[in-house]
Amino acid sequence: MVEVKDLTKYYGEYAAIEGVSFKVEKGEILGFLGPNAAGKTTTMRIIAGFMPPTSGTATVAGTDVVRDSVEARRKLGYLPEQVPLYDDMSVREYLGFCAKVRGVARDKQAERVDTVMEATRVTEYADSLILKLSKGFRQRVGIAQALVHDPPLLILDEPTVGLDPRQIVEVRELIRGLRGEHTVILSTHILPEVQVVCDRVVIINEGKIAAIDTPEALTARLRRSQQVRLDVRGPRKDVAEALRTLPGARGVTDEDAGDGVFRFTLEADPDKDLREIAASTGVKHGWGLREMSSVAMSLEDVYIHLTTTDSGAAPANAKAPTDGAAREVTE
Amino acid sequence: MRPVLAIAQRELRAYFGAPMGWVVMAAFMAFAGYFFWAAIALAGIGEMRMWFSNTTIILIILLPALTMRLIAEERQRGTIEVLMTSPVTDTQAILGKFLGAFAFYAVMLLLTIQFPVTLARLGTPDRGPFYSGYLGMLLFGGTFLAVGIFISTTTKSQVVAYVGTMFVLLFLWLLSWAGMGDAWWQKLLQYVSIPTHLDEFAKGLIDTRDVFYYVSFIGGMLFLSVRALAAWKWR
Repeated sequence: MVEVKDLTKYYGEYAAIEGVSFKVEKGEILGFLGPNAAGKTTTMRIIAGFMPPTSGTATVAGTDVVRDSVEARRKLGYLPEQVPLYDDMSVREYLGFCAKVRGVARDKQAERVDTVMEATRVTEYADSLILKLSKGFRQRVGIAQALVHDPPLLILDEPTVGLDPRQIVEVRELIRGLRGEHTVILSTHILPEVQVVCDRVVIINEGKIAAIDTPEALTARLRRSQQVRLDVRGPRKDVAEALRTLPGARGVTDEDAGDGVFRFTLEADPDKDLREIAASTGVKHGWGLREMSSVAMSLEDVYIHLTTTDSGAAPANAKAPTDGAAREVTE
Repeated sequence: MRPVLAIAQRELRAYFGAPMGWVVMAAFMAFAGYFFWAAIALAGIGEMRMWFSNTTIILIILLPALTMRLIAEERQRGTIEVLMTSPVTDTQAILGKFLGAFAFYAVMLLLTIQFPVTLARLGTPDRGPFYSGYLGMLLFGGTFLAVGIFISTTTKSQVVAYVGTMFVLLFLWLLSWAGMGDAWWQKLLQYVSIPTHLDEFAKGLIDTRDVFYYVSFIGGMLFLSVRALAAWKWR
């Protein structure tokens, strides 16, 4: 549906994005994840045909967004980050205007406007001025606007920013409801959003792509080992030794948690769950097991790992990050 | 053509939906009415020629207020992002905006038709200059609007667009004063200056050279606007 190749955009000397390439399949929801100023908006603006790249190409359903810009724009709906709408129009007027400008057939315009108002649940405010709408409803009108000409591709720049938690859930549901019929590219810097909404994630940092994969695979990719944390009251050295000799164990670190309790972090092969055997070992020796938990790397860890400058740039394209880096972020 | 008309229609409605449109129209009618009354009651002149040339002066102040928002406001509020990611070419966008402002200006002129109608009731004036004069006024205003939309394209600030446009229009106006004389450069200034071309229309003459001047001036300005819009996006 969308193919981006080697996209680079300079603002003067400053490279907003550099060598960005990825593909979006039909019917997929792709999340664009990255810190502020990572190049998300720039990439989306280029795909939306708002501005040309310095170099590289982008195509929407096979149409080049620079050479055949108007034709490409027919196939997409775009919601910019600040949700700019004409405040002096009513919702119905505004959507009607968008339908007309985007070339919806004259006899279909009113019907399309009604359909998208229904889909985004703004019908009750159809005749209110956009100026008077709350942020949540503005956002919905923004999405309605992007949908009004029924484009195969939707590009949504931070569609949930500035909404209250309930509105966020509603907008996410709305977007999820588009899956299949529409291809969606959305940007965000909120992690749970990606896990909840997206089929695949592009993590972008400082204008370069740091990773592309499904949310699950990204998490799994960095989870090269399992970790179990145990708080044990007992002889420090003996406990550490006993844990280290468990089958599948790779290593143990320990620290003093005070009050005669030590905290051990047991690292094991990814396919071994050592929690039960560790617990029974403790009981056998009569040590007091105070607490035990499994430490899994969340997508958040992956994200921070990939986007922090000191460790992010180097392993960006490496398949297997070092164990050291993985441990570092779980501490 | 459809996007052009859709944009023009939206702009026209925006003028009627916001205070600025009404303020401009009210101020225009107040001054235009005063000039008409002054010509008849004070000077005892039963023709429109003076009125045309007097009225053009207030257009220098009023028309930039119509054009200042056209692109600058879209840029400032970001709505241009939605407009320009619609399947609309830069040319269609500029043309639509221009036509919207032009239509509003035409409505303003239409409201002054009462003046020549009054004259025709009071006496038997030559009607030719009325028609040609109004055609001249339309074209004349069009050049101002075209200058305005160009300057509105170059800035995010409506205030800058207003002041800039007024300054340029005043400058073009002054050219006609500097051009009084018979030297070649004075003739050139006369030709370049916008108001000089209105005189013939006001007298009742439709000279194709004057029509050509206005139409090409408008076309040139709109072309520059399209280029400026494209350049801004490329930046």
